[in-house]
Amino acid sequence: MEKLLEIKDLKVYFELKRSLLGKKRIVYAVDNVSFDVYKGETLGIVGESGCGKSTLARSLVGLNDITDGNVVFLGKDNLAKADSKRWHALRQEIQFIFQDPVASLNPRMTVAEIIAEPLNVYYPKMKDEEVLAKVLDMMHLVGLSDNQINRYPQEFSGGQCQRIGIARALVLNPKLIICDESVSALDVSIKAQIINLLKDLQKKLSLTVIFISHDLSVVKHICDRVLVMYLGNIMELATKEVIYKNHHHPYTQALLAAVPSANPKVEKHKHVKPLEGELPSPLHPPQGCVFSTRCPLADDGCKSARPELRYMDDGALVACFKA
Amino acid sequence: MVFSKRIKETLGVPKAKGFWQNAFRRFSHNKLAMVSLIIILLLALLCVIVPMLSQYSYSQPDFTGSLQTPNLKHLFGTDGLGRDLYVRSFIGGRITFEIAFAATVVVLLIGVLYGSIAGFMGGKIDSLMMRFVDVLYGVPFLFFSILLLTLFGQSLMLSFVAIAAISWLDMSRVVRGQTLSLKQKEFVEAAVIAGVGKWKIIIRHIIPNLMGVVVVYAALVVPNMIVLSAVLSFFGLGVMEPMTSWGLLISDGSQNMDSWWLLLFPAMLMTITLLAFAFVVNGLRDALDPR
Amino acid sequence: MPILEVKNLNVSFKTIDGVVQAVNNVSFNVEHGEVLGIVGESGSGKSQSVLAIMGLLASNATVTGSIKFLGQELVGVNTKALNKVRGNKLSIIFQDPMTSLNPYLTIKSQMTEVLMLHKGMSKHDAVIESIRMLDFVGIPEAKERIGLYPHEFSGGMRQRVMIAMALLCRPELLIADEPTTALDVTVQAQILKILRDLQTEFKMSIILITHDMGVVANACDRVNVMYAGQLMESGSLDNIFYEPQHPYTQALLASIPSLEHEVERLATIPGEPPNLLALPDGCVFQGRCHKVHQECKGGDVVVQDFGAGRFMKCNLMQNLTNGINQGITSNVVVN
Repeated sequence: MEKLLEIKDLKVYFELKRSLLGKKRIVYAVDNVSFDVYKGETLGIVGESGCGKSTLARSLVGLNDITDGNVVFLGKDNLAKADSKRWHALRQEIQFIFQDPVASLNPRMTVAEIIAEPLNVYYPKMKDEEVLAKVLDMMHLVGLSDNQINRYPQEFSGGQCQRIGIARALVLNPKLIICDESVSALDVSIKAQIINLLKDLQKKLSLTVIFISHDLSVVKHICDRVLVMYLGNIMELATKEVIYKNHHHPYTQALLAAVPSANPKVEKHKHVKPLEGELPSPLHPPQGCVFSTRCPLADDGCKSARPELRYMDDGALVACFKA
Repeated sequence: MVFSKRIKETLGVPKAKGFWQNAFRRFSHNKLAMVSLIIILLLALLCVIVPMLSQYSYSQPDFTGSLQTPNLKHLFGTDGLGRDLYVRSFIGGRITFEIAFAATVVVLLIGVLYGSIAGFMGGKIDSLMMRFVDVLYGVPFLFFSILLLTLFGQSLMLSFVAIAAISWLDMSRVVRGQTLSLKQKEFVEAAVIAGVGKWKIIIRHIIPNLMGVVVVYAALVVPNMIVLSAVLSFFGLGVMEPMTSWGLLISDGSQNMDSWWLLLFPAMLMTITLLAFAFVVNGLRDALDPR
Repeated sequence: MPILEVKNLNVSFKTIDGVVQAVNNVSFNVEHGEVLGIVGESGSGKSQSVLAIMGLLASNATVTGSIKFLGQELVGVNTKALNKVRGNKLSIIFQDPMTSLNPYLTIKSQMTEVLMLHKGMSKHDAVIESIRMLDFVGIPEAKERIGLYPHEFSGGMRQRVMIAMALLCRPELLIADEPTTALDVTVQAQILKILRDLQTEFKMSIILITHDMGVVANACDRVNVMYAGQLMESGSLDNIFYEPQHPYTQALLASIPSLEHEVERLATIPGEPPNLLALPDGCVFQGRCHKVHQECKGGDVVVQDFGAGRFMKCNLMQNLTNGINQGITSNVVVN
């Protein structure tokens, strides 16, 4: 399979403002992350808040600076080293869909202006009729009707706003779409509509999608492979089948067990103890395995050395001494 | 925009009601604010036409009829030089409004541009620009005005420059703060990802969304300017006799308390104006920031 | 006698654009020691109906109908009488703990104040009781941490502190308004466990408001399903999950992606919820219902009482007696 994105030793650190005499404090948001994204697949990235999944997503579109590492796009462009000119060209290929559909649309612009904006930037000479035709195409593609074209975002519900956001992201025919919690803010019945839409579009336009979410059931529904993150590190990366049926990492196990099922009988017979404690501060990640402070299997070895990612028999990549 | 017109032509879909139309609708539901706005407009109109239509001149003394109490011929009475206070009050109002509005426009232009650039650029440029504002804050306003006026002689222009020069500072701070919070908004990030350049982002995404706050703040600045210009006049700086302003009239009136009308009428007009502005500001705030 | 009786509750808000009908003729009871779940999407009126119970609605709200808590009417009484009930026998926790915690006071002074005010305890006893409560909700080293300020706790811990505060006076009814929505799944699991433990330990009644069917399945005994300000269906947990009668409940359950089953496409409910400023005549769900027919488009909708506390608001006749399905099974596949 052809690689669209090769991420090697990616580090995204944030420096906190130093207090007058204090030491420099660094947030290790994404720490030494390596993985590949294949053409045409949907890769899910899951984890709890603070695990670095959003930071990772944002650094792939240049919203966060990359501290170190390589992110190679289509075998030639290194995003980590790209200057602003290069980024400008790359943005046609990599687009982003935001979490809050309403906040991601400028309230002073009409639907037509919002969807046409990327076209205006990259094809300034395009004729009005052509722009309009393209905008209408996009609107039909995401299920909006012609008579909505001259309205403002406030007149739309969250679901419709997300459709507008998707149309804007697709208007330049990108190769890679990054969805950062793109359905999390939507109501159940609307969420299902948008999930189906994303799935259809991915197939129709043969897009590659990185789908970031904290909701494991949604990820299961939409993704081919899943990457589990914890405190800026990859815990496990495997196909959907492995992650949801034969996962290796105790954190994947704990995460899945914590999702309440919409089935009272399953819930009644669930006797797992919830994971104890909370996420350690990314300012002071644990010395050994980052999950060792909460892991039910952790021993002294886990607390002193950090496990490397290694392949399992079924092709899964797992960072755990006990797996 | 042209594009939306084109859409209307080809698709027959009219442009929906925008932010300002909706804001105006909400504003018009606020009776107190609407009445206040009408009062302000009415006063402004009177300031224009009363001196034009009146048979009396604001400057021509009439020593035979000095210090008349209000009567049918002179509605507000006359001053020590026998000039009609009715005409003088409105010509004073005209000057006061002129200074206030001109200063507000300058404050808006400088403040919005300066603040939005500082806020959007961030980092070192922002720090540098804001430190400059801090330094200007340190200059004592009255001292500065007096210095200007004594150095360059009294003139309307100069008192107005003095007021504007010091008043854009607040505006730029407000705008910078708003810009900083707008910059974090997802739609600005979306524009960055859509490849929109820095200047275009400021013009298309930041400034239109600032306008709500700016309008409210501008409506707050106008009455401040009225008071400031009155303060300057009170100290004898700014407008020169025989021309007058509310500040000057009040200053004269307060030195001559036996002729109560000399203080009462100009003070009343100014108070009504300031109150009306306060209600308008309230109405604007509700209309432009619904919730 | 039920602990809470809500009858024909209406909540509307006056706005410039017109009257928003947020809660429309809702009636339900909460029995002693049960956990009642209220589920619905945003705009369904689930939060507004409990805010009405607490008397915490915005100032432009109008409330009609009756809310009886332990036999005492709460609609139309003055704040003073309401305050005697609120925080003492009736408590609420919110999605965002900072709405009920004062950022400028330590947890200790906030908790002891409640106990000294409502229970007349001495300072010493109040501190001991507060620590006991913090222990119960699983705050480690409660004795030391009681002196901290709210911002010194993490999100999950803050939620625990708020629960502990709400429980100080041993309320008979606890209202939890989306208590776990802002939390991560692993922390959510911890909080849900605490709520369940509480309920068995203190024999308390709980109203749990959520949009998450998984949370309902985990924590509730009975369920109210709300849509566009109306109570669409009510029944036991098993009724709602395994034999939903209302087309909305059926469609809602079918549209949830599940961890256990896999489907190629999720079932969806077409369209969007109606505008609360201009509700349609007849059933509020008519625009999105796949079983809609002519009589749904005007007039009153039938409320079918199946007995045993099971009812629904729908014109589609179902043959159930004593809450038990009599042959005509609904043609729904539950996931």
